[in-house]
Amino acid sequence: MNKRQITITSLTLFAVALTALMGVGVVNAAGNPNPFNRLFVPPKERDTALKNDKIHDPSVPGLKLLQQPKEAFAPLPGSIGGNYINWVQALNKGLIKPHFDHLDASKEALSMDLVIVMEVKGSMPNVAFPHKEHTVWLECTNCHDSIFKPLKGANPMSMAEIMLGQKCGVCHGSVAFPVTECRRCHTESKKTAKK
Amino acid sequence: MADEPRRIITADASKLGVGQNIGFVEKLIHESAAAKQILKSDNPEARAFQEKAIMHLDEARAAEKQGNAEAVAKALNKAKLAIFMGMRLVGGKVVKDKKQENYNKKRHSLESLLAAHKRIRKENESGQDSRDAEVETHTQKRMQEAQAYYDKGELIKAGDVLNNAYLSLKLSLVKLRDGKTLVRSLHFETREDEYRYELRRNDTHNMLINTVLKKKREDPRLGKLMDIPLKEADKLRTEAEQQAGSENYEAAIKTLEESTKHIIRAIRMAGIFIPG
Amino acid sequence: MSSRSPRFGVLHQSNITMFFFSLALSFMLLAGGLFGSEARAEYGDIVLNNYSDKNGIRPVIFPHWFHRMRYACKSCHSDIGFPFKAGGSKVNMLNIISGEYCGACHNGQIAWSVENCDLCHSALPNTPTQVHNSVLRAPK
Repeated sequence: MNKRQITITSLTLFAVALTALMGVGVVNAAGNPNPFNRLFVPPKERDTALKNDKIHDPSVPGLKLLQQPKEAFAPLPGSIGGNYINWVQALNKGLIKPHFDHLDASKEALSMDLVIVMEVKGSMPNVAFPHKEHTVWLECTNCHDSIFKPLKGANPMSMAEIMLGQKCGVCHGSVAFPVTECRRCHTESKKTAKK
Repeated sequence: MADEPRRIITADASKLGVGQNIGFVEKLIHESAAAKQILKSDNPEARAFQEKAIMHLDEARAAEKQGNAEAVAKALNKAKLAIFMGMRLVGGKVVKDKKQENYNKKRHSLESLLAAHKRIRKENESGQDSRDAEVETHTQKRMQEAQAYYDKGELIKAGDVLNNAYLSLKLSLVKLRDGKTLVRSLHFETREDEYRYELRRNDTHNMLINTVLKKKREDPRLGKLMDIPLKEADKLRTEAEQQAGSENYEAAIKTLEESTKHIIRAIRMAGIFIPG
Repeated sequence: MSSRSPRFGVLHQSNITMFFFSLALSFMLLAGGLFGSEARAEYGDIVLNNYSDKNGIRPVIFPHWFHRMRYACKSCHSDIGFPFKAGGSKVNMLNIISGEYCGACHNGQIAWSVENCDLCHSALPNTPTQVHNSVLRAPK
């Protein structure tokens, strides 16, 4: 072994050891040896405490009255990105009951169960857009026709646009689950679609 | 929504300890845009509220001299509430503008929904139902009715009529579409369209490199490794653009597909598996 | 998206160690980034600073996540008229006090009223208008 190789090997060992240590820390805290993305900060341990979040002014006296995200999210089902909350599940399980009308708590959403399957190129699964999951939150005209033209083939879409905050990206990537959760939209495997 | 001014119910701000800055409240009473609007207006009631706010502000100053923090907080809160009441009295134009804006938005919404309803009704394979067409005529009538109220300045009534029309139209539209699955197949009118699609697909993957993998690419060693396929991808992209420039879209599409494959290779190198 | 082993096949044998090292390093960088000094506010915390700094008051933080648990998107983005864009509405204190925008609820009846300035105006001065933690949105 020459000197260079030794340096590399020892550095590698060092890095691996450090990574492993970090991993162990995460494992102990989460109580699960196989969490998703082992080396990411698990959602339960993210520190978004208002006084530490670097956008709230910690000297504001009112801060202690505001709800902490961690407290708010404790009873809700987890997810892998964004708020680390599966909002659709939270709603379906009745864990949150958002009012559909701010003046009349008894009004309920009129949802529509219409699925639009959009074919994509390559081996990426096709997209299935469920209107049902969206219409329990939104009004038709929130999206049609300012964001999506309600017309067949009028909405050629790319992930690039979405990442730039257009089309689905108006919400997904800033308040709804982000595009890193590929499999929540790309759900239709090509084989099923051809049937 | 009731049109008369709402009573402001307040939490005990002295306990909350928020917004207790004399200088700030002073600014709110004298210098804020809304305060200036009160001064400009001929509304004696609003001016009276402003005077009342100034009085409470003086009380707060006096209490501060005596070192009575609780009294300062109470007086400041009264001052704020008074100036807010005054502001609300001169806010009429703001409310009217907003109601007009709301009406026009709702009208536009209803027009879009109506257009969608007409189109979907015609597409409907399960035959025509005369009731569906009736809903459309009904909606148009309601829109005229709403417009008549709007022209008379009865904005709230106009809004309510539109809301009801919207709801019945939506109900009918949901009935037409509920429980269906529609497939939007990938179909390109021209080769150029397909080329544009491939361009965006290429952009998309490039964007992943520049966002999700930004940190990884900054790492000198992994970055260097990722550079190999990425350089190739860049080269192919330029080549594709040239091919498209001479309208050889067939070849341009193939070249772009190759370029995208190289980017995907770089993404996988960084430890993230994405389908091709 | 799942993490998979890198494709060693495309690498020269002598590079494997280096590759492994850099992979570990990149994990550290990644973790460092998450623990580091960057702002780590909740996803969907919206900062509004159209007028605040100019008027000598702290910018507003609107916790979108808090509100979405209590109201459907539609009630604010359709009925009350907020556009889908941070800072996209012309909301100011006058129209809030007059019962529009935030004032549709923050009127002392549905939710606490506006004299509690600091509950909204709570951001560090000079925080720009933004949707905080907006992921993957390419820089402007």
